[in-house]
Amino acid sequence: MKSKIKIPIAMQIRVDDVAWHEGADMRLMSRPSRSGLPRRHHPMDYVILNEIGKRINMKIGCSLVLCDWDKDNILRGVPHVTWNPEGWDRASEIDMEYAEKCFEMLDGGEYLDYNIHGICHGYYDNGKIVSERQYNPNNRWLSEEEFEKHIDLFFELYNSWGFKKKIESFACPCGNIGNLEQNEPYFKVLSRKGIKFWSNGWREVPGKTAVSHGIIVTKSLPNPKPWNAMAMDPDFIDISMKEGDDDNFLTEYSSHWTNYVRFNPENNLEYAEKWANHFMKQAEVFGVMLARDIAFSAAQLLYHTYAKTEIFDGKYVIDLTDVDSIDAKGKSNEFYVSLLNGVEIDTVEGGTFEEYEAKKEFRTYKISRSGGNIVKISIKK
Amino acid sequence: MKEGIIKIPAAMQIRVDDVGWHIGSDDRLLGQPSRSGLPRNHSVLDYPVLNELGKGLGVHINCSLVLGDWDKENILRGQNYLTWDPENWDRKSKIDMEYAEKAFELLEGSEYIDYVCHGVFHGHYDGGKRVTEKEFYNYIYNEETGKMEFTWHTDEVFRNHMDYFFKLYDMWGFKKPVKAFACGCGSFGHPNDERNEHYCEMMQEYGIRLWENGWQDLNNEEEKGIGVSSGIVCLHSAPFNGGESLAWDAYDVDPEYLKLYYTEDIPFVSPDACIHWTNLIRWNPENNMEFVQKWINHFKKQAEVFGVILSKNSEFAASQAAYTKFAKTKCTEDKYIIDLTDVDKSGVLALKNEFYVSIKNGTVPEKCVGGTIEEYETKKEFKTYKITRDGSNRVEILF
Repeated sequence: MKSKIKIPIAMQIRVDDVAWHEGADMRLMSRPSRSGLPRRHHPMDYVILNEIGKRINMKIGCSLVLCDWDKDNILRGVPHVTWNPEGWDRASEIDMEYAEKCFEMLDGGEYLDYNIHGICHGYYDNGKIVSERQYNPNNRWLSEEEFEKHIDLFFELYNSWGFKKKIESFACPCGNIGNLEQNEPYFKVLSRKGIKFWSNGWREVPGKTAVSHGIIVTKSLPNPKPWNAMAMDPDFIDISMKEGDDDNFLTEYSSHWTNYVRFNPENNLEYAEKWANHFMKQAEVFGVMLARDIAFSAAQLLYHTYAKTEIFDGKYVIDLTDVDSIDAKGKSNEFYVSLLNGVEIDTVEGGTFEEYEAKKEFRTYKISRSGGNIVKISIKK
Repeated sequence: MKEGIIKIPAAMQIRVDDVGWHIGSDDRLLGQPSRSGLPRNHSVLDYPVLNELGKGLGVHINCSLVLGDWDKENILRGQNYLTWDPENWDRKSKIDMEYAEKAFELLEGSEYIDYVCHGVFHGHYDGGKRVTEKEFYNYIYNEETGKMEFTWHTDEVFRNHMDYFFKLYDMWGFKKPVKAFACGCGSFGHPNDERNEHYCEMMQEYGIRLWENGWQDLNNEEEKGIGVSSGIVCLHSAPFNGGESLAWDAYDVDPEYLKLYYTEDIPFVSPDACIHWTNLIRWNPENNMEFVQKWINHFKKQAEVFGVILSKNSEFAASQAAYTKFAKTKCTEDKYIIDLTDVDKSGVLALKNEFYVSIKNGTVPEKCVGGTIEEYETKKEFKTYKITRDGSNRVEILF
């Protein structure tokens, strides 16, 4: 019976490098790689993300890069965050009409969620880009103070536009380095800033997740490559998680903005349905479900990883002691279990249950806990 | 007869740059070529779009070949000016021969693909570093001006680049004659600058008859985007998207959203209509054919503009360019007089005895003195006629 019941992983889509105004890769001029799109971004480039989210009922996690939005020259004179701190004058360059339209699309997008990604997606010195890893130039860490300055500047830019969505998630540009201990000063800062989730590769952290300073680490699946591939046709992309490969299931489907857009923004929506179908196909794999948003995916990840399950006395017993012992800000009192067709819940002790969604070969139920750290599921005979 | 109802049209030659790369990714950050800018390896499915475009239009597409990736015998090893790693050069161990052989068949087997010499690795290298992406020019510090400036190669270096292009070409057994040349990233100066004239003298030895590039010094009404240098016709390419550039590395381009390259409100036709290979293809090569008909329609629409015909091939383009630029025309009440004295003096090596005139609907030629006239093609608002000269340097079309 045990193999017929699973606490699935809730896959969350993360789209990096969202919000650049100009798309072209400028690294040859010691400027950012941007989105790598060989044209300027268009308000329709936000619409495609929202449309995919709408079709799969998920708020897409958009990793924002905000330097192009600096209408008030907040970044002028600030070292290391731009390629031209002294001469910085985005205020005179920004196309406000365009930016306002983009703002409306982003902040008005019901199916868009945000991650902090960066300011200019790099660490700069003497007018040159030192590293595309804004927070880890030359594979080192910034001081806690300097890192905090970067995060504060991000929020200054964010607030200068009046973005309303609360940002609770962080994702380093170009992946992250190190283990939890090495990143501790960053966790401290992020925790102070209200961040609850940190999504990156986390290759040096074993397992599927970890928690530090209350922040849940959500690890990313290998993403569609390369980062700057435009107009990918999802018909030719394989799903990331295959039946039976549960040990390698991870939470974040990390991708890049350019992967979803077309050279002619008028064509952007052409692949929306295909992308939705692609993700829905992924959700047909037993052991996987689609998250509703970043918080949903991280909360479920704790149950997926730390809940202990066994069959005892004909019941599926879920021991949540380890889940409850974790000091994470993004915990939830609800979690999800999937049961293969033919196996039906009779009663649940320690909580209530309701059907959440039905797939071809299984159904997923939401369990709302009633307080204890043991949940027992009885199966209809 | 009113002025403006008859024209010697410019023959617009379609050129597609950067064809032949195996690897697509722009590796300039590594000191390597910009390549086609496509962030994937090229597929054998990237070649049929070229053939289908030509077939759909009934013209030969001029494909500017870059051949460094084809070095299956490591002939570039030790060539200081041609690669970024002359000493350790070993393309032989990396080349995907199965891919390369299929690509060769598709190129050489196509009736609608013509070749342009574009270069070996789309750059001039020295000491393992890329000096400039303009392969056939140098970029050096000028002590007088205190600036980095473009200049010409010595004969020896120029021939080094040309020779190895053709060595690679011959190594594979390509058979189609290469009649056109296009320097990567545009040319430099005026075609009649002494050194460009000398380049053209050297190019003649390689069989070149047409030089297509962005010739900024030809980009004016007087020059009409056409020059002649030591018998070789030089054609200027303007920004492709109705005066705005189309990014060289843009793929997934839907031609429905492109402006015409030439419209009658633009002062003159720049006869070299240049796009890039990447512009014609898609991220998923399986989808490549989806936009081909749209590209065909785009160029057909272009050919509906009075003053333009689509060139059949390099020689067609070069010859008609000489007539477009040098013929002196005069309209009288009942005839159109074409003085071809300067055409004949132009020294154009590819000059043919025939040329084309377009006449707006409502006016029909009755007789042609100095040659024979026959209908060539019909468009919505005009017809184009082919005139075959009888030897005289004056042609009169009577209405």
